[in-house]
Amino acid sequence: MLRKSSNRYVLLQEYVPVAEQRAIAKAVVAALPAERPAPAFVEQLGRDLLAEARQRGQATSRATRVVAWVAGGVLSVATGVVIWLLVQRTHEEHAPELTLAGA
Amino acid sequence: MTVDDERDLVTRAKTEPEAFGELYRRYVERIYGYHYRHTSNRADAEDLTSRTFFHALRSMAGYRETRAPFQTWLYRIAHNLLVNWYRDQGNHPTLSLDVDEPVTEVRMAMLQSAALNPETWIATAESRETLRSAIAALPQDRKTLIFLKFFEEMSNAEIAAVLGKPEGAIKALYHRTLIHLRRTMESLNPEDAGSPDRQGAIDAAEVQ
Repeated sequence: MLRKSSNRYVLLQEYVPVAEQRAIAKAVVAALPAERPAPAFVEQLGRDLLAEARQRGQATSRATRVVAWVAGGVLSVATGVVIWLLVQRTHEEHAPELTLAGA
Repeated sequence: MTVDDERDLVTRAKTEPEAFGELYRRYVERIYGYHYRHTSNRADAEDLTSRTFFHALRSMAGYRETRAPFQTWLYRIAHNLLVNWYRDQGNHPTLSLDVDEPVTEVRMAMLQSAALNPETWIATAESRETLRSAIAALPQDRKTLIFLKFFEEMSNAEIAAVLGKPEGAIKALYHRTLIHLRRTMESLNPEDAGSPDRQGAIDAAEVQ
């Protein structure tokens, strides 16, 4: 009976030394060309972003003004109601008690 | 510019358009380079760069320094846009980086018979081209890891924040990617690949 060889090898660890990691990094950096954006693109995008940022700033301040105006209005009405209630209460306290003649 | 200066600039950028413009000038080349390495073409890189900065501008009010540094936050936006870009592309890697034609089988055979020295490996155009192809064929997350590690010199923790993965997973992924790249380089240099120092510490156990 033939005995079949069943040697199998299990890879426990494959370690990449630091020096080799640096060499791989160097090779990758060298392999991929440094590509810089076109100056015209950078300029245009910068202008577009600035315009959008200013527009957003204006929209925010407009929204802030509207919120402040509405909040101020609500506060004014609420203050008016409170003052009216206080005046009413004061009048009620100082008003003479009226009784019916026959009672 | 120090970390504090940048933090101040980021705080001002939430309300001052000029401060955001300054941040844009600081990062535009790096973000463009990052997108270009992934997409391999200028039009897509420009489009993704624009979208990254517009997204950052619109999300600026909600950005909190305590969650992640500005750079990590910005790269996370870039990464998310790239994920969408890869999905739209149907995950077909592009081999060319606008400068060279793809590697043909004949040229690959020529390279494999060349027995290149590791020191001169990166010096030849052919080897650079082959390595470019190997990088282009990597899955998107591995490419991102390699680019952030080698070009942006980010730490594992920062890369983990960009990719939204645990730091341990990044370490393991980095190690696997290094081994893959090493094998690619060794395949072009068969004589050198068998030497003990190139093998590194490979422990093998014989089992029954």
